[in-house]
Amino acid sequence: MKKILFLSIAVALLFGAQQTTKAQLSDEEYNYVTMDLRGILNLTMTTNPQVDFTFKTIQEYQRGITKFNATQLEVDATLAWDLFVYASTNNWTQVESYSTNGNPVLPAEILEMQSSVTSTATVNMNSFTSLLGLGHSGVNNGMPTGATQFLAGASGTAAGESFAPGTAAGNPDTHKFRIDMRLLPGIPATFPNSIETIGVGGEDNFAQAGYYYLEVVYSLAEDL
Amino acid sequence: MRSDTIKLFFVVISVVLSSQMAEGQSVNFDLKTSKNIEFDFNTINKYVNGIIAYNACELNVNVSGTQWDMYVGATTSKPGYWDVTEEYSNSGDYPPISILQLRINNSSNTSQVPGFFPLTDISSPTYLIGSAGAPDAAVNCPDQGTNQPGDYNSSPGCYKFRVDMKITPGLSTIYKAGLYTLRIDYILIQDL
Repeated sequence: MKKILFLSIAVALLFGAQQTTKAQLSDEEYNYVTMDLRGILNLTMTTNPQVDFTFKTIQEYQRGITKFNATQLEVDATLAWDLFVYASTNNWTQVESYSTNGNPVLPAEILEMQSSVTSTATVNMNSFTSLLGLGHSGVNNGMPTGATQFLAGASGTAAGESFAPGTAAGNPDTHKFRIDMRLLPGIPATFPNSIETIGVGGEDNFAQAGYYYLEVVYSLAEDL
Repeated sequence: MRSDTIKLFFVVISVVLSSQMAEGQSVNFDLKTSKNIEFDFNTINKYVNGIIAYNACELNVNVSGTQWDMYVGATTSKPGYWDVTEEYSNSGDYPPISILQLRINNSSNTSQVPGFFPLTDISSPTYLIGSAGAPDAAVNCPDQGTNQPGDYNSSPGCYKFRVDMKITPGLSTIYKAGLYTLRIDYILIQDL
């Protein structure tokens, strides 16, 4: 009887040990997920990129020509951004001259521009102001400085010196720009509103009749 | 004495049988693939509307002899945030893992979380079947929370789960542009 008792205890112990050593069954499956968040900056010009000014009457010379909404820009961005503007050259390029009188070197600054979006930058285009030529814009290898004209944001990365991410469709007040342009030659064509004068150094101080063009650069950049 | 021996014999046999029954329990995911899922946000439209990866993964449950739980969570170096592989920008916040949303369900809708839900760290996982407590009440197929033994071959409606993934970064929060990774852990475990 004692043997049976011992055997029973042994079996019970064995059974118990078997139960306690049994681990909780489990299995695992995995997914490895990669997320590539690209920085996206889209600048879209929704108007014709070429803006023509033709001065063919005395009144047009005297009163100038203003083109409202000459250029419309839309910004879609996933990053904080700045938008600045400058002329790609210091002067207008003369394609053809119609006269031998006057000065063919016209500074970029004779073109006045204003933006529909208010900029907090020191140098801005909140009202009609001369577009800065490359040499005066402070832009160096495409990078802006404090002297650069900002349509949005400013030089630096402090608070208020950039515009927030967003789409033009969702933020029309801050991400859609309507740019007005004005040329006021005057008679003689000295362009009195320009911050740079024609004919510095004794040359003719009025514009030579002719056909000119100027390239305006709008640059959208991450707030760096 | 003879009758005692017979009794002992039956005791031993019953122990062996019960032991064999216990060994008959299993809890498995079958046909595991451990797939890599890629989300490439290279347009504004994808940022705003998001990317959904339908059927990103299938979970084929095969359980015998025991009740079970299933839960999911993420494993990263810094809990709650994606692992950073490469940074493209200096500005912005590191994205939390919760921007990845999962929808894990089967055709019988037995998952306890039927719609999209934000991913959480594996330390506080989302239970799709069962709960952290044990044992849970028994639920039979095809009811919500089915936790009884079964397999995806004979009852795919209750034991074959499809995983959809969705990420919508949006533009209201500035996330630092970069390449990020994380691992999603799906755990199938005996409900003890």
